[in-house]
Amino acid sequence: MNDKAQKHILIVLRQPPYGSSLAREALDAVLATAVFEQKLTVLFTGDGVWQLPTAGDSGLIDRKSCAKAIAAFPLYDLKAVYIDSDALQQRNLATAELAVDGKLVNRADMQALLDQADTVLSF
Amino acid sequence: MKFSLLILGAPYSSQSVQSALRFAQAALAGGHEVLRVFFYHDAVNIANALITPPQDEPDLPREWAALAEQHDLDLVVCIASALKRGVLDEGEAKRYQRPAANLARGFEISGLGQLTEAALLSDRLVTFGP
Repeated sequence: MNDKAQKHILIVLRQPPYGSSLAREALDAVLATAVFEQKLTVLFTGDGVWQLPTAGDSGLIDRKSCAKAIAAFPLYDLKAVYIDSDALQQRNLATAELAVDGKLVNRADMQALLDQADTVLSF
Repeated sequence: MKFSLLILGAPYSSQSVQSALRFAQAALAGGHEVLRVFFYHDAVNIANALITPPQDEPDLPREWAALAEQHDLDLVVCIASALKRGVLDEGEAKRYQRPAANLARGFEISGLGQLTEAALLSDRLVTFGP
């Protein structure tokens, strides 16, 4: 593997948490990527913002919590976390307590994130 | 250019796997390299050797295997997703004492690190969604 240049990887998360397992699998991919010590950025947009609220208990449906996995991002030194503010607003989540201290971004910010990344994984 | 592919959709239920196959064929025909193809989420089902499509429909597992053999491609199926969906190689079938193994020819079971490594080694990573 070429260690010279660090790559900037952006992972975009667009799935709601429990209706499909894809949201959980995407978070597994985020954590697996985080250990590679590259520049990793995560963006929650669309229905992906439903993964963020700390309210609720996924154990009631025998599922591992997406919010708890997201709350563990700092343990992986993953700090570049962005959240689509329009997506929160549209879903009435603008004042909800969220699992991670992410930076709110608008459409122009998100376009910039996509432009800056070397590689984008989209879930 | 070095491409890697991330495929998420279930074969036949979703268009994901076939679109990715067509893309891989086009990229290779265009002289590009396909460094790795990573099957995740429901796409791991492509590696089920028991898939038996109707005769008048494409045989996707075998088409992927043929392309892989022709171009020495690295077809990787995520182990966690595969186990959950009942796609096992001999080793996993033995480990979990399952009645059979069903991993199709041409595919290899491995971990998520292979996806990240593919992203780092490729010029472009293209995702074929669910």
